[in-house]
Amino acid sequence: MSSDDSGGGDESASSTRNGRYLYCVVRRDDDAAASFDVSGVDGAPLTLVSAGGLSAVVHDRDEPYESDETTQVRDWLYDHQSAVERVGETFGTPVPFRFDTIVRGGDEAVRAWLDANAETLNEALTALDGRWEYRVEVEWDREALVDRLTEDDERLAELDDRLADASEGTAFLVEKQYDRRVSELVTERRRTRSASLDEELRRRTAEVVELGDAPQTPLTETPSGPTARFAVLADDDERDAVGSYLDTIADEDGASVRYTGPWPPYTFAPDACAPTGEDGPGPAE
Amino acid sequence: MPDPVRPGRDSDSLADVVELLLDKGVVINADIVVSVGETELLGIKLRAAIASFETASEYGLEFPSGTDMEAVEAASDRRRERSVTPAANPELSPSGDFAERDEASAVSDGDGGDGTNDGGDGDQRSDRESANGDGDVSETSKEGEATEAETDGGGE
Repeated sequence: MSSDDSGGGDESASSTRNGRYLYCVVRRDDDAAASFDVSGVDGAPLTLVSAGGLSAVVHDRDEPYESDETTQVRDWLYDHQSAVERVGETFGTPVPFRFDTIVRGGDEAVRAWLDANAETLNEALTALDGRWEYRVEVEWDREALVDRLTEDDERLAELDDRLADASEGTAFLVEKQYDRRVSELVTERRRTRSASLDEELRRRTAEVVELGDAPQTPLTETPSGPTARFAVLADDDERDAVGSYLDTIADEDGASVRYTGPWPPYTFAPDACAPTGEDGPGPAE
Repeated sequence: MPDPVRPGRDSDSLADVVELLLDKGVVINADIVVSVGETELLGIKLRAAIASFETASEYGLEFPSGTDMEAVEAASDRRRERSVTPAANPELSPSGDFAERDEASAVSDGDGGDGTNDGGDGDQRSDRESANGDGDVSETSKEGEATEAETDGGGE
């Protein structure tokens, strides 16, 4: 589709793509659409493209956003994010797209895509209705954890005793065994803690996704303790129920809790949607 | 029963935004999509840049070189913990008002954060590595002057 010299930067050539940058899909609401006034990435005016009972929020854009400047990209992300939230305020919980999703073929291609995926999108909107995404991150203080674990564990008590009257050489070995045992216990404790968190969150919310133990964007040099992270999909009551639960665990094993949201339900959006069928992107450049 | 913990958006929220917008959300697998692959690349570059950026802003770019890293880390942990306390900060309205944005902009305007990232991927990546390693605070705190010197002195 894209010709060899698509990187040439000829503006008239790229504009033949007739691209649309996608923010989210919402239930069609013609009244709300009449007074729709939201701006998107870099202040771009957003429009609604509707097909059947669905509307996609878009702006005209042919090329993906790309920059080496951190602050620039960060601002784009915030722009995208707040646009989706503004839309959600008016139209209800949206099905959000990933950043920088651009299709070619103009409004027509967007309509065709909405039609082709109407069932999936309608189901998703129903499931998400009235709910938003929240993020739960629990980090246990390693030292507090170790203190607790060493109190309880017989094996460690035994190693401690041996350490007390060991010679220097033996002490070294015993210490190693001791450290290994502590690591085992910490890992095990994280696992059981994480499993019970998962269970408790599931009991209180519509859906839970475990996110693994480390954020992909580490903000401090090293995670200082074992961590468990979740995304939950919750309505207002469920949100408070999670809050109450988190309050009860906030001090266990020196746990610190991060609870953020509401976010558009990016994590709970349908994975991937089908192609439009062979509409064709229009005449070649 | 105490008040429930209210979700909020502390200054770590940029990390959430990055993760949500770049890893999650609907992906279209169709030939109508312009450059699917590039988003991934953007994500990698951005993460690298943001990791260093956030580290810098979290530490306020004010620490004199030789600051005790452990103390800084402990302080940042305490800050995280504080965001949990039930009472404060029920910023629940999804109004998209990111308090930290201004704060962050202010930091980035005055500092060398941009400058250090100007060199392209290579630089960003090494930035991140150094941010993850030891002694990044002194590096961070020097950024302002260092960058100016670099740019003026023709770092090419």
